[in-house]
Amino acid sequence: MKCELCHNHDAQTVIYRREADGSSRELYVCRTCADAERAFGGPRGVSVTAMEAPEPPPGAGNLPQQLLGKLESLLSRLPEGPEDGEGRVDFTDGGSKRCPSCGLSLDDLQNLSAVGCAKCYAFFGEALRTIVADLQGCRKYAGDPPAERQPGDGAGEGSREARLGALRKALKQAIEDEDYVNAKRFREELRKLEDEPPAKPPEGEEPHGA
Amino acid sequence: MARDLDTLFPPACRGVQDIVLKTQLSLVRNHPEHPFPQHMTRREGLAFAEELCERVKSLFGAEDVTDDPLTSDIAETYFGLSPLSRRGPFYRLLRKALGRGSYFWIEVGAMNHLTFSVLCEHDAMPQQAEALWGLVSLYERRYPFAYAQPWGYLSAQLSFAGTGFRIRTWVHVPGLSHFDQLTQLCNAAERYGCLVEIDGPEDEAPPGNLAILFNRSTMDAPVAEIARRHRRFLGMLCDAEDQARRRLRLDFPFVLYDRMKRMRGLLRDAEMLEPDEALDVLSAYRLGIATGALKGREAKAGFPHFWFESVWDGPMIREMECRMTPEEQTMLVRAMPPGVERHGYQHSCCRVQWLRMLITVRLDPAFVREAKEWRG
Repeated sequence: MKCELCHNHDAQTVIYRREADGSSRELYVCRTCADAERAFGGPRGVSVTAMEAPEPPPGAGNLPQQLLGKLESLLSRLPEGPEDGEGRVDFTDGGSKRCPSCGLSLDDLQNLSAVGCAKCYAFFGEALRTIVADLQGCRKYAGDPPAERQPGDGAGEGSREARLGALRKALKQAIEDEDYVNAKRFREELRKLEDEPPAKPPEGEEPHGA
Repeated sequence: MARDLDTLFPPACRGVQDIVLKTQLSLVRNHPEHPFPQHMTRREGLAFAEELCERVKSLFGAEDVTDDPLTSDIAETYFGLSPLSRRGPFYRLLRKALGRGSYFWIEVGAMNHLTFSVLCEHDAMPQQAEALWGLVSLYERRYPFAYAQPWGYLSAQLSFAGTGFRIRTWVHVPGLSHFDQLTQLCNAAERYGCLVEIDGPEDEAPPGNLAILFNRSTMDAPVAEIARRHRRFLGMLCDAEDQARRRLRLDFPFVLYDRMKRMRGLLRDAEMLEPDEALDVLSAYRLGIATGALKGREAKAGFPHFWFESVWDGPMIREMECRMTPEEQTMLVRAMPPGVERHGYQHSCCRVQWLRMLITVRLDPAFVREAKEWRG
């Protein structure tokens, strides 16, 4: 059966349109049309009711609750035996292995709805990745890179250009916000940095964190 | 019912300000060498919180306002900071004034080592998101944060792993709520990478018809892009809400009229109001102003959002202290039934007195006539 709205795709679901006179009309439609129809209801005088077996609206519940659900389902389908020899968690004891740094187990994570430390991410690896993918719908970080470190403040050498850019931006923001104390500080740092000769680029900076 | 829409909805009363109450941007960050706050011992937590506070003070010139309970309480209600239940034993709150009534907030030891947040303007979301990122990067250049691929920045809550960025917008949606379109709103939001938080059971209108819109993923794009997407969906939401309000005003004026009368009745006759009831009163009030059903001195477009927040005890008391003379405060206390303090009802009684000033607005005669014609 073809979709009753676009007449192109196969009908996959049914929606109920409420007409202006109060009557309800059943329409067999494809998923694309269903999504378009139920976004905010139809034009004036017609509203669209969600159909299918309705799941709880996303976000209507709280995230910790969703997290608990994910963890429960994850624990129930954990593989037998360790995944590999690279320090990942061994699930044979039902996820009670503990992070060597903070002592958190997956059971604790279920109770607290919170990760214990940065090392947990490496230790629980794939298990956390599955939960994050379910929670966020994404598996890989695609955001801005971390800021370079300032010279003399740690292991890494900062990128001069990046620092200059950040300082200029911070200075502009401070001036806009009429935060003259910080604006003065940023201006001085900027001058100092501009007077410095450019440093050699760092070779293979160590990643920090987990 | 041919009418000029612009007469019914003067441009000044339409748009984002009527629907969007406020938007908060926040970034959570942790340091790699320490466990996250919930897993710290008390001693370790106190020492580390002290160290973080010192860094923040020296870097940003922020002041510590943890020991001011009213500011701390108000910060939660006004600025969307961590609720009391999520503040650990070594929680510290610092702020840096940015301008008039605007602050850069830094929370230490909430769920994460550091939470940086600001309230932002609707039109400038991407720019302000970048500015916040830049500000936090200044800190990061000295003290690196926990970061690892493929996660990005590591946080105590998995829903924050990635950029650690959350953009939350408080919206007032009486129109969508009236036409039972909140479920559709939630469905649509998910397709645009947003989630909607609604207080109360899903089949009931939330108190005050308020909802919070926030980004689902914090790792799939840079913060400015996340903010851009958020703003795009917010624009759609505002259009849908605007349409729903028009529909209510044009097609069901008597329903709106009934709501205004109930609101005025409560304001006139109630002796006590609980926060949720007060939110509903304010929701009707704002809707009345936005649709032109109410007129009066206070009926201004973009009325400050504090009305919603001032129904909570801490902010209400502060607003009263700030805005009333001692004589007015004494009169207000006298207006309350005797003995309410003894029985713990003083805030409910205070709330009525505080909101009663809204009754000075009146129903627009043209609207009343139209509503009665519709009924007749």
